[in-house]
Amino acid sequence: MSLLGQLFPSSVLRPMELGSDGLIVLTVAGLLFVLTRYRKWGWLWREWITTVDHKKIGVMYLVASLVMLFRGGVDALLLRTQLAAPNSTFLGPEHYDEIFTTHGTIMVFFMAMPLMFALYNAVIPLMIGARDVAFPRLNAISFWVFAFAAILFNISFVIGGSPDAGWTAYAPLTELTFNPGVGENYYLLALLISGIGTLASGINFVATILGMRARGMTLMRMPLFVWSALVSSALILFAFPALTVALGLTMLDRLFGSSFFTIAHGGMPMMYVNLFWIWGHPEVYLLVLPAFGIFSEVVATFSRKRLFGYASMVGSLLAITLLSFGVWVHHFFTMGAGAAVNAFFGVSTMLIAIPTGVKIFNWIMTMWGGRVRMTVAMLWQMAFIPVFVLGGATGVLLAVVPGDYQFHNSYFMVAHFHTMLIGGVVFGFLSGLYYWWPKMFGYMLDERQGRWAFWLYFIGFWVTFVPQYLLGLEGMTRRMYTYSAGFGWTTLNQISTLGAFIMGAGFLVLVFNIVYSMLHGERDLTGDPWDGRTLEWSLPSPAPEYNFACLPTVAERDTWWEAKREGGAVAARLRAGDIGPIVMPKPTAVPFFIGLGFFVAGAGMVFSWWVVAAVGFAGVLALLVAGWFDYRDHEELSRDVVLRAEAAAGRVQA
Amino acid sequence: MSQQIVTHASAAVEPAAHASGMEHADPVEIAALMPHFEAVGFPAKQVFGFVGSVALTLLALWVVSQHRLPAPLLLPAVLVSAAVQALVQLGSFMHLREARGETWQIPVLALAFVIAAGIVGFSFWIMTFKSGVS
Repeated sequence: MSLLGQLFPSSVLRPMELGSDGLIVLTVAGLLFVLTRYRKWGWLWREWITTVDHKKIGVMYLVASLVMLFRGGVDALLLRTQLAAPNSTFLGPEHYDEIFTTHGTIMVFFMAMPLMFALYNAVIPLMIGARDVAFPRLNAISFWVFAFAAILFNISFVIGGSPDAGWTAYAPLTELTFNPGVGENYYLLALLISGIGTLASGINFVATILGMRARGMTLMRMPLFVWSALVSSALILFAFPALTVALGLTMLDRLFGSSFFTIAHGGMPMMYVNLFWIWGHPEVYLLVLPAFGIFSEVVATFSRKRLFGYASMVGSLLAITLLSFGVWVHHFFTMGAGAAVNAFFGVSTMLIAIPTGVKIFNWIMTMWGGRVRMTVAMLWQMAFIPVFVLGGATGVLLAVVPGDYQFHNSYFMVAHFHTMLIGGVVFGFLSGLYYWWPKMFGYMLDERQGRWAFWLYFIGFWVTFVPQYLLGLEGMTRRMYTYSAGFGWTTLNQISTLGAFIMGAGFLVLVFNIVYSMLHGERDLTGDPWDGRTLEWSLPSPAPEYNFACLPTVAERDTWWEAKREGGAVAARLRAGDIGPIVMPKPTAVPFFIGLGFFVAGAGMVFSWWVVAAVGFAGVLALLVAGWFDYRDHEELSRDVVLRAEAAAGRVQA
Repeated sequence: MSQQIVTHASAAVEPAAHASGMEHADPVEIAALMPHFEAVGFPAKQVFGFVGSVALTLLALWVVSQHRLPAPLLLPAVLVSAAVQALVQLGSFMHLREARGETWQIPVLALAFVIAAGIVGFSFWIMTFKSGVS
């Protein structure tokens, strides 16, 4: 096949793809123009691309995640537009397959995961009283590897062709015989590469939380968001290797002629399903547990009350973590495993409802008798409770094995997991964004606009997914690209599509809210706009590069709240004598180029250009070695610099 | 030996920590990274771990792809080589004896063992059905 034919097969020459080409070229040209016109290249390089500061890395994760939310959201709207009318020809069947594949993959791997890491990076070191994460350079490597993997995945639909086997990429659909072309290669390589960054982040946050807490912050004095980040990072370490194996074996099948999952040569496609869900089920918990952590912070702060049942919250986090490794078969009850297997996994799945229920009651009991303030962060928290209870209840229905034989792969299941992932993960992370935004950026998000975004999104959510539960009961299965009018699904589908567009409007208001607040929003001058309880609110907003001029000592839970109660408004003031020089990690370009190296290597493997792949991997190796022997990776901020910065913020006692 | 280094390093770092602002560099990290070069010289343990892991992987691949054992023994052979490799890596890379309290290793290792054994064991159990259908 000619090079041109390989790069631009017919599937990327459809009008919609060509239109996207134009938009991509315009956007990139616009960015290049702005950066050059306003001489921002140096700023971009020094302040962002080479940074190892966890707070800036968090911001970059956030930006990447919002861009991916836009892409995944547009995919969703295209799918819903196609389904708005019976026998629609808006998208062809192949086109529909490609779009639901990229929608799911982007939302899970390139929207939800980075949003989680954005919040970890933004606040975990601040909450535990540390000056950075345990391995700052590795943290930057994680980000750049993820960012370039996301770019690699996202260019597939305009160069080479999109993957089209669903976000689960089941064999044998992904085997070369049934799926020629490079789309699935993109999926495999992008996820394998971003998995490296994810694993490194998992290691980094486990090490940070276990090793770098402030003096006196025992495990049982940690804020719950820190607890949830700890168990979620541990879940990454235990779960992601299974995904790496599943994807790696598929890649060997496609690129090197092995037959792990091809029946023709004795391979076993069911093993792919098994491996995928060994990762896949813990994956949804490692996304939702941080959201639980956020809710626990938000509900305590905005109820002006200590979190109810702290120990049982920690216990249920640990219980969910353990149980999440014993339930994965419920994703494929219909595969044909024996009754004993299905019964075991059905029961273990139902067990998860118990610790989750404990948490729901604890959040409600925290509000009980508290002085509740209805901020936007709190609205997302309150909205989460009924949505998650609905999702949990339908989840228990799906766990009933005989019932699952009916629900399996129907829109009932589609609606269930969207309820959990939107109601749990997205509501949680948006709550966290509104809560920690002033800490990240130094200004508040406008509350009135935030309410608009919330209500649009919340109402849109119900309008979209309640009809999908009903459609599932009416027999509509997932991934159908069209249906005929006689099935009687038209009205419900139309309502669902309407809801999706309401959610889309909610997203636009959110973006407007961010841009408007950046320009006109109220600046956070106190560093503690919500009257918070945990250590990050003891710092100015945004926190200085070194976070804490003097490392705090922790004597109890909610330590900042207690300090304020004892010391009043001056609790944050430092004594000049306590301030000393601070050693900080130095910026480096190595992580950026490691990401670039992986991108080159990945692109080479996608198209089987082995020389390109070898060059990319050699570059990664060379950069790693150069980085290992770079001993000048830190620098000292002198006492004067720190003292002046703290005095300027009015934080030094007279 | 490494135990000694840790004690020494943390003793050296911790009192100075508040004054120098080195707290973000955790004592275990410092002990693991810095003094090893002086104390050990050549990182023999790590090289052994790396070469051993590669050799065990190649051994498993060779045994299976060349059918060097009777079929019923292939699976146990691969599992044993995997278990040995896990032990080699734990011993050579994972700073098992460098923690501030070795007791902390036990629950984590137990959890890892339970999850690993669960995943492998359950996978066998789940896949037994294929003998009935294929």
